[in-house]
Amino acid sequence: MSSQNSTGATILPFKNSDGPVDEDRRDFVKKMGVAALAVGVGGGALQCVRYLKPNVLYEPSKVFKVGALSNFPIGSRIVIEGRGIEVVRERDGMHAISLVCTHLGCLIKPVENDPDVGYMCPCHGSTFAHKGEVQGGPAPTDLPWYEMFMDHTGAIVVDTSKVNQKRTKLVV
Amino acid sequence: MEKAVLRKLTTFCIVCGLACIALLGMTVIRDGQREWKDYQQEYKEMLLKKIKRDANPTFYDRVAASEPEIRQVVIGEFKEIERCTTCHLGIDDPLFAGEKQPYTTHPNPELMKHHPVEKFGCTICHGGQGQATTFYGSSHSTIPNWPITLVSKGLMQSRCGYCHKDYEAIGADRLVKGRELYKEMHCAGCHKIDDQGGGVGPDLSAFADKDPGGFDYNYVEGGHSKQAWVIEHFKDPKKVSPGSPMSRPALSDEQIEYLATYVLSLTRREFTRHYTAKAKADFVPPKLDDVVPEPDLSPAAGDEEDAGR
Repeated sequence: MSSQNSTGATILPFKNSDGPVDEDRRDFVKKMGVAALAVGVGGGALQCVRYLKPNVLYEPSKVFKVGALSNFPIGSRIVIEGRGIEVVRERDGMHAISLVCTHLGCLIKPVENDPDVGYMCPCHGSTFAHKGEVQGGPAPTDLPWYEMFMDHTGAIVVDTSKVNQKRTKLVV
Repeated sequence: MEKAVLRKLTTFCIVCGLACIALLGMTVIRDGQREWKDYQQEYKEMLLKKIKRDANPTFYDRVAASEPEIRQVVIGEFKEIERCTTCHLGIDDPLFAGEKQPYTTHPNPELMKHHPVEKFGCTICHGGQGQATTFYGSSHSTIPNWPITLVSKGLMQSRCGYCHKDYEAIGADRLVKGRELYKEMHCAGCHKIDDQGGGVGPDLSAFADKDPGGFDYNYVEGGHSKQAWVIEHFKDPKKVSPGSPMSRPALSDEQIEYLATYVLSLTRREFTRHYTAKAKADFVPPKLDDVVPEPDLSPAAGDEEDAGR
């Protein structure tokens, strides 16, 4: 039963005094309330977390084809333009090495016909061996190798989002 | 107020409140369900059936472990970001020849060899909205107020003409026929293309570059697109642009398509060296304006003689 307080507003009774309380119905409303809150708040929170990681960025794909195997004869070192990597194929396999200097990010130039020095940075003179190890200059770390695989069409694909930590060569 | 009414109102409020929260949650969850995710899942299953693990275990495991992701091609040259390959997953994969859309291989693999998707993307030839990731949004059919739709099959060669000016060399028969029609119908009497022709009608040199939003679509029935506008305009110029002095050309539907293909290929866009089509050294664009002024009516002949003396 509703009653009037001093301000005249109608206050609903907390308990229905007219008869037995329908516990089943209360229980149902309570359950529905909890479920709706869980879906609403849970979904919102989920989406907020997901929002922090964008689906896609305005940048070229980090996984890209570099061409068919026949474009990379044994003994060749081919710089992939615009991607900052060099694909090297030797007798025992091939690998993709980063051409971005680990010092300040200049584009490194491969050195031709030198048994010791493989790469040299034109900015501050860092030199790297053929496998990417630092030999001299200000560069702090070796040049990373990237993951590389062959897809089912026979094209060589490089994935610059994953560094090949073990420096394993792709045997083809 | 009656007690019963109040109780009903309270119940109503509670139910509405709960429904609002539940709906909010559902929209959030629905947002994560995109059609391209389903396509990628189906593609993955199809691909795993087609390839064998023994042949290339690294690749097989990579595909098996892959999650749905938006795939895109960034082409700085055209200032385009294209996500068509998010759904058209087998477009350059011979294994998917004859599969259903959107997985099927490009119907012309030879063309794809010369125009790899990684370099050219899709929209430079096909039109449409490359950034979209839904069937509707990428403008497979005309969308009101989104005038750049997919180029229809009959007009495909108009896009070849963007870069290739030597139509015979690439075998673009529709462009050749369209240009022949343009000459035969003496369109150059009124219209100007690359400083050839008259000045009565609008200059058509950069017709393909014209903003599709600037056209009047009130009298066009085939949807809000420049293609539809051009085709219908050729069928009945006075209907599509009221007040135009252009007469209705006596052309069959097919000829109209040829002419539209030609007109829609006229662009002044220039591409950098990497994207410029190779042309023969001795290639000269054919003359479009073959109207020769009658010699005895031309006062210029006499003037030149005077100047020569």
